[in-house]
Amino acid sequence: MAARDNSVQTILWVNLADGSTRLETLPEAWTRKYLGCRGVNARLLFDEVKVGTDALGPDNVLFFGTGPMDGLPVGMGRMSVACKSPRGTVAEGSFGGFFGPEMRRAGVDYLAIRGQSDRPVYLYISDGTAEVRDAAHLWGLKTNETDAALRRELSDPDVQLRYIGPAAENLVHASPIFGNLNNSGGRAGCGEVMASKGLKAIAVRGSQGIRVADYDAFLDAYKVLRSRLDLATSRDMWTPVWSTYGAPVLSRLFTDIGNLMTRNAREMRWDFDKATRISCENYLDNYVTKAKACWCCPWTACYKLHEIKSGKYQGFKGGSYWAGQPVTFGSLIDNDDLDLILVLSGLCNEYGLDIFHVGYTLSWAMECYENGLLTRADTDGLELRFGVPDPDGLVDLIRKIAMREGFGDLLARGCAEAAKIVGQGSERFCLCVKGQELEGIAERNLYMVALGVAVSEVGPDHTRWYPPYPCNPSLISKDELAELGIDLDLRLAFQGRNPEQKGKLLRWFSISRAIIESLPSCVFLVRDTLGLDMRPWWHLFEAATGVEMDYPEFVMAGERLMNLDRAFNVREGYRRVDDQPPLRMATEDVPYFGYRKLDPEIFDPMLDEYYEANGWSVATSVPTRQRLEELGLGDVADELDALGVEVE
Amino acid sequence: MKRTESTRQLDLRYIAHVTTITGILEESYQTCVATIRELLDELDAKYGGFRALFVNPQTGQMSLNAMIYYSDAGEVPVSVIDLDHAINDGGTVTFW
Amino acid sequence: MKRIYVIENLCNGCRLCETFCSSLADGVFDVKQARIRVVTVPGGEQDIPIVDCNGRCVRPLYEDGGPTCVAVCPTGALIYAERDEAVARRLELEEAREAHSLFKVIAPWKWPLPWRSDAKAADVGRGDRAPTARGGGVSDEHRTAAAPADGD
Repeated sequence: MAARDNSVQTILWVNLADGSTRLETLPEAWTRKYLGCRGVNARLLFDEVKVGTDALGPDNVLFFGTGPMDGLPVGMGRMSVACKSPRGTVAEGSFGGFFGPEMRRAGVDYLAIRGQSDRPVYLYISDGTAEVRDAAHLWGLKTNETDAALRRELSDPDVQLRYIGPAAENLVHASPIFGNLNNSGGRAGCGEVMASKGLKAIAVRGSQGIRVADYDAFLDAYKVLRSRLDLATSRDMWTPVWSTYGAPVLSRLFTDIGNLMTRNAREMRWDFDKATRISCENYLDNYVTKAKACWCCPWTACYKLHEIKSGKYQGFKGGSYWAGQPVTFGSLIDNDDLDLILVLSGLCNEYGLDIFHVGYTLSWAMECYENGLLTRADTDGLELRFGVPDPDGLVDLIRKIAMREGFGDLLARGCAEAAKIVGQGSERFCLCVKGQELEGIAERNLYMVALGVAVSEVGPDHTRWYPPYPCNPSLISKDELAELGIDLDLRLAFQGRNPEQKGKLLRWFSISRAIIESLPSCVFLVRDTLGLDMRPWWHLFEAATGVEMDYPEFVMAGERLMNLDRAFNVREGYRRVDDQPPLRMATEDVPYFGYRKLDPEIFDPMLDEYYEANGWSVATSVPTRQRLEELGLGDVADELDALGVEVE
Repeated sequence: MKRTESTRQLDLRYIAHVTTITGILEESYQTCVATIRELLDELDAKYGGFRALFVNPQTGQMSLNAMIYYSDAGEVPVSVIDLDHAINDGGTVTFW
Repeated sequence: MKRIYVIENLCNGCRLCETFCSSLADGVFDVKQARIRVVTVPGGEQDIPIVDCNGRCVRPLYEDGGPTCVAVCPTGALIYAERDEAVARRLELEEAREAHSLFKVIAPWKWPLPWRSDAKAADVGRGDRAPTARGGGVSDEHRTAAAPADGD
């Protein structure tokens, strides 16, 4: 029986214009320099999608990346999907589930899709090969329908799938790619790009085993990692709550500390009873049917399935009520009916829509409506107000957004584009960065979050630095921090509204999360000391791959990735001026607790510190030649130079 | 309990698994104690097992698997690190 | 004699059991070699571990020598016990579920923090009525402390 190893990684090139496929091996040096997954995808994207490429044209490449830990019980099924975004930036997202391990079992570590098919197709990948198959019968199906149809067609219970829904097919802004029904990723543009290629789905089935280089060392390293994460031994205040009840309990905390985006973030506190109604105590009591998890996750119930047991939406089933939905379909639009939140989220999953795009565009529209910038004539007669006086109309609007019908077509463009069309000052209600809607974590209370949201190359993406807090200070001494090469005053860094050290904190968090997403593993499992002390991850990687590196070399892979992403954006013309908070956060104080707006006095020094710590130009954010060469990316500096980018 | 000058009226909130000890999500609570530590003792008498969620028996300090947020009326809630943190009339305590 | 017993409705489909098991003999992670397999019903609404092993594990992960699959299962869906203990655990789970919805997703013997069987969680309710059971002061019915359940 075939067994593969983890030191050398393979890439399957597919050209949809002619259906040709080619399996290659990546250079062994890449495992050392980029690790895998997100790191390798960053290198591939920079190399293969050149400046000025039409994102929705044939020359954009869609990369699906696994990595050396996928298929091993520490990879958590994570994968990276990457391409150029229709908005011009890097589009990279990660998702979990079970697809990654199956790709590795099929001997395919990276899938790179070029070209476009003029008719709908899906890819069927099995051990080392890919077939392009007709998907006319699948095009137009919702994500759950696609999942069911392909499983029936392939009559293989172990086949793994990724697919887009009708929203992506209609090139709705920010449509992600879905899989295992409720896992989604790539909201920065990957679903739109997949649709532009005529690619409806990817199916994969593999049969190879995966051999680790040193099994005994792997088991020892696993036990260390597991002890940091296991409910019985994890020294982290979030482990008990996140691994069982789930993230929505945050609504009850966030509203108290002025951290909950309410009514389009005009306010940051919501009624506490409303926050309680949509919190996980209610969810677990009245909706949850069972726990679910991604591949080999050590936590019991990050993911749960639910069903609405009574009322108007009785029988509606879904899963994965997590941190975004209580904001996007709860406080942001002032809705405290958990049934409605679950229905709106579930419909977004079924149609293949991004909940942040939908939530923030709805709340933008509601604020416009309340200010008379939109009327019932514009909204097809829907009374579009905070508090949702017309829930049925709102439910139908989800479908209209996905299908670009009527008023849905305006909202389908995303908040930033819609605000340009409506004009009349509606831009000030738009909560976007680089044309992409915010997520669920507030900025004016946690300055590192404000910085992280602004600088992220893909637009707001909390997974690039999450969680936004270090571990309990008693767990790691100053000496240990120094030994780990971390230049941070943790005490200052930990103070949410003190701008000092935030640039350095974000830099470190970005590097460590980049490493984790390159192994791959799950950044949600950055608990206990695992976000500062990367040694358990390093030991796992060495044991799995046999690639020996010293610790600083391992850590450097994370910084290398950050520079490749930054270089891609810079090559497309992005500069410091694009790394700014949304207008509301920059210009409006929060009306309580003295939380100030993020004016230049607060924001600019943080940005300066971040760029300086990264070795990027403080004026422009372009990486310096010196830093690029230190990272072994001299070729990137040369290319930027040759293109006339001002590399210092 | 008759309200005297040393009584404190508090709003107590219980999050997630804390409800498996208290059976309720929140309550108005009147007490004469002056610190979080004493409040934990008092709540432990009312809800057996409560203190064990929050206090590490070896160190007597806050357990690493728990959080308590405290705010005086109108103030920003802060994460309690020292269990001898004062509690005042009108305060809100959120137990994680 | 101890065997591996399965509590299906606790399984979350993570596959830690079959993944580890598959590798114990030769260090190769290949699910075809596993002596425990999780069957996931399409749609994901059921995950059913099927055990094809007498519980005498070829390579226990931890020093207690118990089967690796049982050791790595996060939810408590797998137990390694004599029959009477297995039956008792199932009853324990059902009683715990009566008390708290927490135990929909984890076995009480896997939950390391104290909890009380006599503290039934209040129904939070919908938007049209007051959600919380507001109690004030100290009431007699709560004075009697039930012993917290033992941890794992």
